[in-house]
Amino acid sequence: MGDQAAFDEFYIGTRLNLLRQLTMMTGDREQAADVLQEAYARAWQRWRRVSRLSDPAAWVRTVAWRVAISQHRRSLVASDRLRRYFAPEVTADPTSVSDRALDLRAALQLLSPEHRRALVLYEMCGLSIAQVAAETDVAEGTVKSRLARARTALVAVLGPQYDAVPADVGPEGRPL
Amino acid sequence: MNLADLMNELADDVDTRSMPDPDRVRRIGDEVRRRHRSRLAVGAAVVVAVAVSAAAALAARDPRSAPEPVRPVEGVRVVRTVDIPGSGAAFVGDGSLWVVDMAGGRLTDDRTAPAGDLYQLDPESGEVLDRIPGAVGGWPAVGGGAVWLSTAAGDLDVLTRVDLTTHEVTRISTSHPRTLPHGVAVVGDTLWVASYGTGELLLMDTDSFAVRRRIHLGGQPSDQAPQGLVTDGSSVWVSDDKGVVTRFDGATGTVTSRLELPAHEVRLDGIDARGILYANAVRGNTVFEIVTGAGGAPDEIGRELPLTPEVDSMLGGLTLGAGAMWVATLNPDDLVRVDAESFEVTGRTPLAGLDHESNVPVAIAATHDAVWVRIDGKVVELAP
Repeated sequence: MGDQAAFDEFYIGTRLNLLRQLTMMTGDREQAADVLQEAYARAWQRWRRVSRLSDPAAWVRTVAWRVAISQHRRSLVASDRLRRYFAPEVTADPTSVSDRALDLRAALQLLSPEHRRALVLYEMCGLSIAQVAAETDVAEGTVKSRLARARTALVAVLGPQYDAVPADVGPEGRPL
Repeated sequence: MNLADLMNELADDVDTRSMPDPDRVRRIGDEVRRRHRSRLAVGAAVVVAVAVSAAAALAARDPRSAPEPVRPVEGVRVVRTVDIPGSGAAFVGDGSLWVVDMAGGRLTDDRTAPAGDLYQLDPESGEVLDRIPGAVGGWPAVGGGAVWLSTAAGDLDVLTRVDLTTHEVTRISTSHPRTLPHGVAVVGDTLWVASYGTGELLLMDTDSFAVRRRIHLGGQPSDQAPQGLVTDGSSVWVSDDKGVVTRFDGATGTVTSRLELPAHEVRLDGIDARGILYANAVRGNTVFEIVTGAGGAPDEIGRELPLTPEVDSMLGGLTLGAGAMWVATLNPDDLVRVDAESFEVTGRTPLAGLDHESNVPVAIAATHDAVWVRIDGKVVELAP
């Protein structure tokens, strides 16, 4: 199979799952689609190398996440400066926040990006603690800590019925 | 409830309709690779050109370099650089190039005036003609015999007037309690001042600064807030945070046209000799044309031009002149040339050295034959 056909097959076969995962990580479907498109484009640029990786989809997911974080940081700086120049800040309506907090989607947005990423990788992508640690480039202990804090934060907002299996136990059949 | 199941349920309605087909993704990848290679080569050329000009200026102990022919950079030639400290707006008016050094928005030690300066330059020679202390601000405009700046420095929120003849600086409080003005336009003896904080337009006398009339854009003071003002000398166009662009009779304040762009927080960038008004969303990367109505006809939305395919890019500055529209984009940091007739991008040059911390929004101005861009403490003159 040629490079082009192999890439197309990879793209079509993985994009839905990755889009779902990135949507949960970023909390923004449009941004998820945008960063994923860029990550796939970068994968195509380096396809000969990426295709030989053990998990090319994990590479795309990692790049997409980095693009999202980079966008977030750059837009914070640039938007803030543009906004300060063009228009003063408008105070957010606090009542809308408390309403949205009833929803898991909104509750996930209350987590830090790295906590949310760890939670999605572990819970939704089904990665082990070791795999999450490898993909996020931190120690396994850090992953456990992030998962525990993320769950604590979710329970505080949503209530104990949303509690998941503690990270040091692991879902049934899932290696730690 | 299982969190994994709930996450999957939440993501169930995600589909791939927003994702392009694989052929499109590969073409984007190929294009990015080609542009990356081109950018590396061109960026190096720009850095060399700017460095050469700066070195020449330092050697001569002159804040400007001698006009120095530099090799073409994708159709743009670096003519000279002028060292102006700090950051702030750059604009052309009354035959001069004006550059603001905001001095970080600080006040003088006695806290009576802004610490920064307004520089007046001769755009033909690059010579600094004058430095006017305390005249700083954004949303610059030139009209009614003065330069007008909306000034926020320390606890000062005032409108600053700089007399074009005497360079006398006057600071005017436009509201009580003070709120920062957000742009002005001058039509005859009427000074239009936008006030984002109060959501209103003030029509003031250019001499006495007496308020003749107040116009609320929305039904209530907080409904809609002005984002920008542009005048052609008889009408005034005002954009607001809801994307509505309203045309007023500049003398009476009567509404003569109104339209709504498909964007929010719309800023007006200028109007050309054909009566085409240009606008953009503050956080967007698209320029909109508004075809202004002649003889009382209503304005109409014209074409729209996305400047870059990058999802996180933003328009950082726009100016009209030198035979084209010139737009500075952020992410990527480019100077984009747009042909006003065809409304197509006809050139793209990397803005090497643009610091988002200190150079955003990008100060960009144009005369009839050159474009001036402020980059990191220097004003660089580029000739198409």
